[in-house]
Formats: sequence, structure tokens, C-alpha cells
Amino acid sequence: MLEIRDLNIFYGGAQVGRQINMQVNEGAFVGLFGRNGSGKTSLFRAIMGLKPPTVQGGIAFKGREITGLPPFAIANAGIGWVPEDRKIFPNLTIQRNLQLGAKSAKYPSGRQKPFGLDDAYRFFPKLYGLRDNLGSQMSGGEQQMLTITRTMMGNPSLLLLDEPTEGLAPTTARDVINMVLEIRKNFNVTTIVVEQFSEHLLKYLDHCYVMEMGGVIFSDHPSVLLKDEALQRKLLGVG
Amino acid sequence: MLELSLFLNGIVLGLIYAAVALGFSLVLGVSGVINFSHGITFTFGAYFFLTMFKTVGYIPAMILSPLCVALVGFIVERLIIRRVYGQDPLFGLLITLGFTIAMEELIRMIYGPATQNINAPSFANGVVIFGDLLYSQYRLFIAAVATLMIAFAWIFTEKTRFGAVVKAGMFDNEMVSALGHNLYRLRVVIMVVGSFMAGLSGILSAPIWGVKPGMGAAILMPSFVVVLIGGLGSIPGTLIGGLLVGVTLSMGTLVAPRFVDIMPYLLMGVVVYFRPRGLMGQHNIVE
Repeated sequence: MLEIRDLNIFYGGAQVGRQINMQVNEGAFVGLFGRNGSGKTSLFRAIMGLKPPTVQGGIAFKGREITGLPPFAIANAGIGWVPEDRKIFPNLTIQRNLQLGAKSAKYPSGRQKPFGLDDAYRFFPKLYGLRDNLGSQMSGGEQQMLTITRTMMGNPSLLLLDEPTEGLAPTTARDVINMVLEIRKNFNVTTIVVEQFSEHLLKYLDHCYVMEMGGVIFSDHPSVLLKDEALQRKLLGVG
Repeated sequence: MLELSLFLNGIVLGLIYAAVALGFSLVLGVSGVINFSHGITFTFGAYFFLTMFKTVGYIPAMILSPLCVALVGFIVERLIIRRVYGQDPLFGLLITLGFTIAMEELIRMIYGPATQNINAPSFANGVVIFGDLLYSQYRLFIAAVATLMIAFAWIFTEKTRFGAVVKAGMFDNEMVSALGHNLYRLRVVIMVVGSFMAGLSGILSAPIWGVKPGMGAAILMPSFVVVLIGGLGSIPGTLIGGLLVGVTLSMGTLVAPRFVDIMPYLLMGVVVYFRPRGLMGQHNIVE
């Protein structure tokens, strides 16, 4: 579904991604780990076509080259991005925020039953009661769930989740992850998640990548990562 | 009665300022471009009208001229403003200012420097009597049309999905495009609508202030002040800002006629000191 070939990523003169190669299969749940500054967020921005950064190399989605396309075209091709800082529109109501995620009829969802407002309210019932409130009046966990459902409103076939549980209390973080799992179960959306290393998440993943200094240093099944204690220590920042 | 009459003049002037400032504010809000060619669209409106109304009639010219101005706005966006998206706002300011100066000279070459007068349309060429007050029908007509324009813009941004995209775009361009919305098209539409409104405002004001090449430059600065007072991208804010500036300029002649020109800037200074984003401004892409 997504193929990244020899991708180099730059912020001005600084290189933040080096020779990245990735292959993500349809339906997979892929984890992307690495310490702060290892290039994960830049990679997501590169996939979405956001500037900065600038890129060299190839990104193909569903067999079609998307490098160099503007972000809206990449989104309409079927990639959904949930950014780290959530980017809720505080000047719009929650319902408008959700509707903004929906695409025009020109871009069919490819699903038998596309993800719509009713699904957003089903996966996150609290939103329904809040729907006429402004986006600014929400807690961090609620904002995160709103961002995920907003992106799902566009019926992406590939979902990029950037640190969805960052800064959330453990129980809220678990709610967010459970919502992602529920959505995946119902809508079979291929997912790449950037997260802090956690064994809890690992058991749901089909494949793991680890990045360091802009390069991919590990690509294998999560069970291999579970056995590699040296790499885990590196990810957790101990030792 | 003089006070009331001046107050009403101030309201009418303020509505014109608000209608012009809206386009300026929306373009700045969505595109991050300080579009100084916005004033010239006001001038274009009046001159297109001046050229057309004798042949096609008053009302048809009032509809056709702003459409021509909207086309000018479209061309300006394509040829000039598009080049400065994402760059330092100063680039946009300079390139559009340069364009404005060139266009103003072009108008002067074609039509001459003199002020030309247009009569108010026959249907609004009289006075309305409220008790002791005689008030120009035409000014009331301007107030009505400007109010309609502002109301239309407000309903459009608050109640439609496209309007929601506009509002979201003011907060975060990047997220809006990452959700699949074509920001380039959005910017063109805003530019076209804003130019239409400025063009129509130029026509409306022509019978009162006359048609002259510098009329756009004369309205640009007050509009800029209106945007800063009201808050970038806020339609109610722009309306309030417009009315405040209009009434200040008009009533100020009673208090200190020699200092009236500086009053809007003092007002702006006070507002921005206490509310740096203006009365109703929110966090936006220009920050």
C-alpha cells in the first residue's frame, strides 16, 4: 500500500531523514518508534507532502508516485494524518471540525459503508453531547479522539497517527488506543502509529520500525523487538 | 440635529469601510498576504461603473462592474499574489503596492487626474424626513447595500461548509490542506469575493465622494486600521471596527476638526494596546 524508497528528508540544509526504506502492506498496523528527534514526525510530514521539509527519493501509495503532490491531493488519494499537536480548529464547533474532515463526493471512500458523523459519535459518544461547543473547550484526551475521528471522516485507507497518547493520563491513553483498535476492526484502515515504546501497544502491531538519527535501524516483527532488550533500552532512553 | 446627521454619516461611512475591509481581512486571514492592491479594486469598481453606466444603465452597471472587478481580483491572484504565498508578508505588501501604484497611474493616463462626478440614481436622489432631520436617501441606500453585503459574507462563513473551511484556514492552513481541501482554490475564491465587495463599495461611494484615481489609496489605510481594530478574519469584529472608525471620523469633526485624520490611528493604538489581536481577533496564521 505504501512504499518508501531511499527517502532523504531535509529541513533547509539539515538532513533529518536518511535513506529511509519502508513497505507497508494493506490492512497492517505498523509501529514506528524512536527517540525524540529521530525523524518520525518529519517522515509523516514528508509522506503528507507538507512543506517544510523537502524530500528526495520516492514515496508510492497504492502503486502511484505521490512525491511532490500538494497535501490536499495526497489526502484525497487516501492518506489521513493525525498530527502530534492535534490541530483542532478552536474557532469552529466540534461538529464543524468533524465535517471538515469529510471529503467531497469526488473522492469515493472505497468502503461499503463510509465512516460518517454517526460513526464518529458511535466511537466517541461524548462528542455528540458536545457537538455545538467550540473545539477549544475540550480536554487533551477529547481533542485527541476528535482529531482521530475527524481524520477518519475523510475515509482514508492509510492512517498516520503521530503520538496519539502523548501527554495523556494512562487511562485516557488506553481509551485512545482502544478507540483506534475499534476503528481498525470496523473499517480495516491501514495504520502507522508513532508512539513511545510500550509493550501494551506492541502486541497489536504487525510490524515495527525503529528510527535513529533519521535512519531506519530496525524493521521486523514486534516479537523480535520484544526480545531485543538492548534496543528497547535505547528506545526507553535508559542506559 | 447636526450631531445626529453626522452620526448617521459616520455609520454609513463605517459600513463602507467594513465592506472594503472584509475582503482585505479575509485574504490576509486565509492567505497571509497583506494585499495592498485591495484599494485599487475599490477604484476599479468606480471607474468601470463610470465607463459603463451611460450605455447599460445604472442598475446593470452596478452589477456588471463589480463582476469585472472580481475578474481583476482573479487575475491579480493568478499573476501576482500567488507568487508570494508562504513568503515573508512584506513581499506581498510590496508587490501589491507596486501593482497598485502602476494601476493608479494607468487610470490617471486614461481618465485624467480630475475628480469626476456621478449622480445618485434617480430612485434614491431625494431626502427622507424623520421629524426635524432631513437625510439623504442615497446614503440610506448605501447603508442597506453594504449591510446586505456584510450579512451575506457573515452568513456564508458561519453557516456553510465552505465558510467553515475558510475559518479553519485562518487558524491553520496546513491542517486544512492535509484534510483534503484545496487551499489554492480557497484563496482564489476569497480573493474574487473580496474584490467584488470592494468594487461594489467603490461604486456605492462614487456619488458621494466622487471618482478619482487616488480614491482607493484613500480607503486602504482606514480599512487596514479597521482590520487591526476589529481583529483579523472576524466579520463581526470588522463590522464593529468599521463603525467605530466611521463614526470617529465623522463625529470627530465636531470635536477637533484639525485632528480628525489622526483619530482612527489613536483609536487603533488604544485597542491594540489592550487587545493585540484586535477586538474579536483570535490566534491566526499570520502570527
